[in-house]
Amino acid sequence: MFRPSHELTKKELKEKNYQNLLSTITFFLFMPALIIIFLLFLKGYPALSWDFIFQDPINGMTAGGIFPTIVGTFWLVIISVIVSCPLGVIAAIYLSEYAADNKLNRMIRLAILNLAGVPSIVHALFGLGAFVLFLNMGTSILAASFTLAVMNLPVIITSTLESLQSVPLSYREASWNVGASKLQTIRHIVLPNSIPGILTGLVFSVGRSAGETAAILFTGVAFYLPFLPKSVFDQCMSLSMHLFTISTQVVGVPDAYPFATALVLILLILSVNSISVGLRYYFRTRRKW
Amino acid sequence: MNKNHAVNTNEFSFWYGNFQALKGLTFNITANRITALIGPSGCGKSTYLKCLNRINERGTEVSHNGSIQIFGEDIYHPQVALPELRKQVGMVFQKPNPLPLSIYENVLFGAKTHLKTLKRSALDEMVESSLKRVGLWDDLKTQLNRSALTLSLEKQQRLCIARLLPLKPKLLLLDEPCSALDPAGIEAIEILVKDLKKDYSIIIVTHSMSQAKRVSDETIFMYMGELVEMSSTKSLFETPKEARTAAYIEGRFG
Repeated sequence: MFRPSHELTKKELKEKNYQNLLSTITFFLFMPALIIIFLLFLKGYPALSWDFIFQDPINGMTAGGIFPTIVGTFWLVIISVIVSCPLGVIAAIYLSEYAADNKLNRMIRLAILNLAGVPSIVHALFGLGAFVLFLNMGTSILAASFTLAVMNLPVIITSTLESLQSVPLSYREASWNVGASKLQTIRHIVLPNSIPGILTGLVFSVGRSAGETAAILFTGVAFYLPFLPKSVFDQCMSLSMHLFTISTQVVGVPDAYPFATALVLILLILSVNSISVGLRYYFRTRRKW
Repeated sequence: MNKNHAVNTNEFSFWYGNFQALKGLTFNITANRITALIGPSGCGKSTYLKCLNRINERGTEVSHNGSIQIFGEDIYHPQVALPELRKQVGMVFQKPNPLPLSIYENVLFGAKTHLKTLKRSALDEMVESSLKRVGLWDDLKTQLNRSALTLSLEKQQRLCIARLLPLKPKLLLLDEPCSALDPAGIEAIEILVKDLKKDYSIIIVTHSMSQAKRVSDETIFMYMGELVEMSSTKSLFETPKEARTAAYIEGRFG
């Protein structure tokens, strides 16, 4: 009585086939990531050593290490985060909690979404015009970090906005209803419940800016510098730019060098991203409600 | 105005954008009574309730005409501070909405936003008396740090009432407070609401006519944003004056 009919058996077979198809496709999408990391390890491993990481490049960048590029990347990322995080989070709070649903605010949201789609080389040109020339920062860490910050703002705003909006309206209503002001509601109810999402978004944007090349190309990064930056008004080197330089612009670089540089860059970004995953996990387990 | 009146509503109309939700309402609600608002969906009963602590002024454009006075004070006066109004006119929502905090913090959330400096002992006192008042103290006194979200719906709803009490509200608004509860929960909340009448003026919006009959002293029947009939609950259900009221309470529409 409960045995499958012929029709049902056919249906179940079809179901199974589709499931297999979907899982195969997903698996193949995962492959490139694995292959990239595997190849980088394979080809870059011979050059990888503590010296490679902690020494300056020498002999016209054909030997030595990549230390200044790592330092430069840290400068750029940290300063851009210091600039973009508060601005992005504040803008997202305004858009989520205060902005009325009118034409102007809908246009602002649309503009932010579109800004996220602007190619990074265009951001670089904007940074060159706005920060390097108009604000007279010169090609410097500051100008390059600001450019990165502008590029990351839409991403931060969008991810923060999503986290804020995921806090149920009923929590806000409950809070207003006992006479809490908007600010009190944001501070005591909305932010504590959206902080994991906000942090995750922020950390991902850090990873993005670490790997960015075009945006910092004209604004503050040099091919080669014989010294480390001393202040934000100096130029710096960066991992991503260095990778481009030694792959295409310099003759006589050992084969393994670009791969090892790329490997360091990827590992750096992966570790930043795993911090983000870790943070999310930490907040999830720590929450008692 | 009459001292026994909790709410005086005078020619009050209300619009969401271009949609007129309330049309020239005029009536008085007596203090220390339970007044039920009934009517079919979309009749404006919830809108009216939300006007009383102006919780519906977010996002969409709203406008009004006429006046509402609560204990003699115009709540749409430009100098009215919404946090102060909402502190004194508290609402209990259809779906219990405890905050994602502990039971203890839930009860005190409102009080803490208004009073800056309070001693721990005073806070403890507040939690105990509020939870006692809604009948949760005996069950929960040993688990005050438990998340409020883990309580049963009925207890959550009691907690939502309890968290209004430290604010010493003058008027309690209940927006279909039982619609998410099972029969036992409904009965428990109704008993609690009747008991709270001693200390508070209560307005309850309900879909259930039997609930209006059971708990309320006075009943207002609204239809399409208008007041159709208001009288004591007994006479409204036994001898309705308006044909539309009679039709609704007999279940012919709505």
